[in-house]
Amino acid sequence: MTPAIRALGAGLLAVLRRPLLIAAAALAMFAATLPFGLILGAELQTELAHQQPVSQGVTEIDPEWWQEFGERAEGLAATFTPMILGFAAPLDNLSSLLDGTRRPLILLGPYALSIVVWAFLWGAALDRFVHGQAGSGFWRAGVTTFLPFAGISVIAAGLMLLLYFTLHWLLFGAIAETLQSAASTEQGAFAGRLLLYLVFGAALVFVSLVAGYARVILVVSKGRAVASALTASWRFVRAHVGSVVTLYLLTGALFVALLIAYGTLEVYGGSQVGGWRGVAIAQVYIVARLTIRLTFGASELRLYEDRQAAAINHRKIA
Amino acid sequence: MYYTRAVRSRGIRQAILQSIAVLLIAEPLAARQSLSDAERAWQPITAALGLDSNANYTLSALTANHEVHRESITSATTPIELTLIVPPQSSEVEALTRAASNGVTRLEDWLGPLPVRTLTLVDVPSNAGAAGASFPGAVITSTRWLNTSRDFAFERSLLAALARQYTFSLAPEGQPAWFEECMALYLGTRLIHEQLEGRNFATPRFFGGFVPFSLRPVLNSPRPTDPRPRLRHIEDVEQPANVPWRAASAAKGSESQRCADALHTLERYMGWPTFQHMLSLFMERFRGHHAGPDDLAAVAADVRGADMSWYFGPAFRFDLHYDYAVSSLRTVTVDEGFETSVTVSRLGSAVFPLPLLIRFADGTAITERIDGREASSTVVYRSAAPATLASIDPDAVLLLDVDRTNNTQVVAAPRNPLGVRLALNWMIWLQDAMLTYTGAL
Repeated sequence: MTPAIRALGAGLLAVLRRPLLIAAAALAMFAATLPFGLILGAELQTELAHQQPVSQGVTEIDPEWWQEFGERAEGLAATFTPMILGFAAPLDNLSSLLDGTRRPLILLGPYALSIVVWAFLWGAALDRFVHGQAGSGFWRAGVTTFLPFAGISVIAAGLMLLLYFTLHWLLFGAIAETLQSAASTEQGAFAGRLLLYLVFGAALVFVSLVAGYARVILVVSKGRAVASALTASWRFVRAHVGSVVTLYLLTGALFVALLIAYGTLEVYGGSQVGGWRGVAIAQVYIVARLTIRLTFGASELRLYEDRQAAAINHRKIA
Repeated sequence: MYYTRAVRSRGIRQAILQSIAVLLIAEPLAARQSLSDAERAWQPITAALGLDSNANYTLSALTANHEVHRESITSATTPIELTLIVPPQSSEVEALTRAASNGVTRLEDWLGPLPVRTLTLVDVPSNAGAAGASFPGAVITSTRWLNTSRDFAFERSLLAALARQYTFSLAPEGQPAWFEECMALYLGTRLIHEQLEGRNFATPRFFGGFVPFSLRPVLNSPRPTDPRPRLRHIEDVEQPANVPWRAASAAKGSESQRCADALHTLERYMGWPTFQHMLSLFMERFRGHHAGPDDLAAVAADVRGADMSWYFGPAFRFDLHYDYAVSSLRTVTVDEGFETSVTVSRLGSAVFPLPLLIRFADGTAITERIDGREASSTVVYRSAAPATLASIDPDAVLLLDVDRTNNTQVVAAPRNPLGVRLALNWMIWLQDAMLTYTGAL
């Protein structure tokens, strides 16, 4: 069994054995979006109450109302489009990430909040994965590494922005246009775009990997500075690129499997998976996605420990 | 002012339209088809448009190796010869023929014989951005590589292009081109709703516009029993908004759009059977002739048996706008019941008579007719129960109203479950966005 598969198995088990950790992550994400949801919810209630009577009292969505609302909407409400419904939501987000779709600047608020929440959650979760119950406790562990983790996230955010303003601009500007106009079929045009996604995606993955292993290194070898952890992470990723990338792809495959399952359920579930049931299913999808994200962190940790142990053994034998 | 500008741009448009037609039609065919087929298929169009030989080899390449199929559309009068120019071994020939045939049949039902008896349908790759284009005797659509069973992308473009066939003669040199574009927008939208009712689901496309996903909860063309206003702005009809093959801009806020809203309003005011009769009569009277809003007003007056200038005057004047609001709703307790006063304000400069609906807590309701001329009018009622709602234009007839959110006032509106559900959906979307965008962080 390769180190990557071993690490993924161990990481998955480590997460599944800790349902409270998954619940805490789910609760944190829900709580993080609640204030924004309440603001939008109030706006929607006002809008719907002021609909003309012919449109009131119906349970089906009114596309004309939604379109008119979208034309008036500003700020967070401008993101309230039909794409928020069900499986379209993850498609919309992934597509926007890769296409570099401009979104309202107000979303920087929730994104920043997400960085803060995860700077804490990663500290608490990785401490649990390293030390189990003997760790410093959920709250204390999260607080201890909060600032360094937030620092790593800010650096990674800066790098991602740089990638968007350089590589993405180049790939999806002139190159994409040339590829598209040169393609004689839609399949050909899509194949060209897929290639560009792969190139840009690889750059994003690289940033993700260095940030991820830097967090692991900070938890495993306490007392390191952020810069030192990032350098060590860069060296680790470079030295074990095969295992690191394989693990990333395996975890990515779990995410793709989740997307396929969700998409299939929505396409073939018909009206059985609509309405309130659809909301519940979408929230279950978020919980599953959080589980995969935590698994990614736990498996990175296992891989790092595994490779470090192998290196020590190697030195001893030598 | 509009008149003069339209005259100038019309000439330029005509030239650009011809060039585009060359790009899309003449060259690809001449280059790729067997010469006799190509000549036969395109001769009437090239003759009609007086095409020159300006070629665009990019678009030529896009329609390389296309095949020519010939079909016939049964019509109430003489059959229509349909020539399809489609990608090689296209599996969509039957679907294209069926959609074209159904569309033409419906249009002929509504408006009388199609102005042309030979029709050429070209299926160009979607990245050409030409789906929905229409020229006298030729319509363009794009069948997509990836489709969902609930998406009717090529049908929508095709129907929009077919509807446009009735409008080419409307605006000659010197007549406002926005009226021609307005009729095309209205007819295209109306035809799509009619042909795809109950199955036209919103289908956004992701990843560069290649990957579709149909949203089952968002039905863009509901059944006729649904009394709510139908979707007025359909992307396949209106986009791209500023292209040479349009008679005028179809952008939001343009004259064509305002005019199309005026037609949607008139349809809701008259009811579809009367409105359709009016359209049919209008097309019959002005077949092959130029016509404008005044001509339509005259036909409307004949159909209604009453002067309609009170509507056509302001509705087609773009410096006037409609906006009615319920500016206050007050209920106070009096000796033996409640006294309710409702004030309706006319915030816009145009006038439209509208009903005012007032609902009371005991389930009773009153509908009052407001002539809409006064800047502000107040009505007072005494009732056994307090008022819960006041709404001007409760049936949403006046779609020209620039702000329909101020038409209704409610007292202590109950929480709307649909609003709660949509807010929860949005929260889940936001959670997913936060996870996606900070995935690397």
